[in-house]
Amino acid sequence: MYGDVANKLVLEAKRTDQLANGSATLQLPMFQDEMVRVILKEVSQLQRNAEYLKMQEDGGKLSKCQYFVTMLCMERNKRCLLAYQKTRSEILDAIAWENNGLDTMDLLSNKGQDSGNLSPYEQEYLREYSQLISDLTAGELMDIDLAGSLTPPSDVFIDVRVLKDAGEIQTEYGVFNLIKDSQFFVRQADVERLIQQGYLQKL
Amino acid sequence: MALPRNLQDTFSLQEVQFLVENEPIKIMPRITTKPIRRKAASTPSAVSSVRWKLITTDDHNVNNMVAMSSTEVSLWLALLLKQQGKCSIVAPAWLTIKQLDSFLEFELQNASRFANLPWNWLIIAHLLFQKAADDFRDPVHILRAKIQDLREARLGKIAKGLQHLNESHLQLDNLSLSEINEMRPFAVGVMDKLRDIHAAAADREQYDNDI
Repeated sequence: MYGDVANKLVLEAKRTDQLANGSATLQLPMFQDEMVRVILKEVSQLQRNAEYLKMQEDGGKLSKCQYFVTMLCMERNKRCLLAYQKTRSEILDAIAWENNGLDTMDLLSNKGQDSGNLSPYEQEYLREYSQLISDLTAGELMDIDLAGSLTPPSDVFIDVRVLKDAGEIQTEYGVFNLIKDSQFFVRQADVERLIQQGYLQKL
Repeated sequence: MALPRNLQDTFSLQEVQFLVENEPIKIMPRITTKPIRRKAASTPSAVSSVRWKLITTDDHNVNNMVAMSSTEVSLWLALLLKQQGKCSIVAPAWLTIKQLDSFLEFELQNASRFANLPWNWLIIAHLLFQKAADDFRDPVHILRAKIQDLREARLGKIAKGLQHLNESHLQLDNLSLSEINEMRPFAVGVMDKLRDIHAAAADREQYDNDI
């Protein structure tokens, strides 16, 4: 029946949502290209039906009813498609905020492992949304690190341990020589980004 | 979204702590920051020269501290100074065995009401036990036990109160911020649902009457 594939797509959206919000790292499963195409095909078929019914135009109750039901089927498909896409775009937004606001703006290319899962439109959307974020952070709110950590600061100085080798890394406040398993006592504000990127572990 | 989902409809525990840390608390400083007006015997330039000054937004007390005379600063600053051994924190009046005992008695006697503890009692107690345990007059392990007793007594009442959830209102006198914060997602969610159902039923009735 019409709308069955759309239902499957919504189930997929639900799974995506749980996958993204259940785990610690945001991840996006493959875009369901196949299903979307089938639904779109269904919609164009419905559209042909509607046009045909309109052409007949005998004004009978029967054709009016048929026309209405066809419209409802299209509405349903549209709703499911939009719900799926919205779920994915929200996760994309979260990814953009989490990663791309960091001091290395070229993370987008670094995050290439995900881009295979995105549809071309989503890739473009992600790029432009990241651009919007960097516009915002570079605007009049430059003093505040909008993409920074959302946990309120509690300690000024913290102990951190280096989790993976990164060589000499330049932060805005000085140079660290990050050797694996070495330990530092540093200002939290200096290393927050490195913690977010997974180089350091807070103790 | 810019805001992760777990922060969208309630505060995280750290945020509650952050709010509480803005409250003023009494301390006994061990340093003097008040500019000392020495007798101008030697050189006139030494008179009341401020050597350094702590610049903060709202604490004029910070720059007028005299060692061992109590003053009031915000909690975050007190904890910072305490960490460096530059002050001792004066425990609030309600955080004594006697006072906690009376609260506990109230809790046990009134099944339907909460004792009049300060709105931040749980967090304050947690922070002070953790970072200023040596500043209490009473032994800390007993205070801890009392706080735990209070917490459990109140938790029981909260759980009992949840069966009165309805679509219109809820009265939570004297419930502290952290306690409200942890029941918020549940209570708000259930009440929203109940309200939706009631509103839909009312709409339906209206509709039937109109016809």
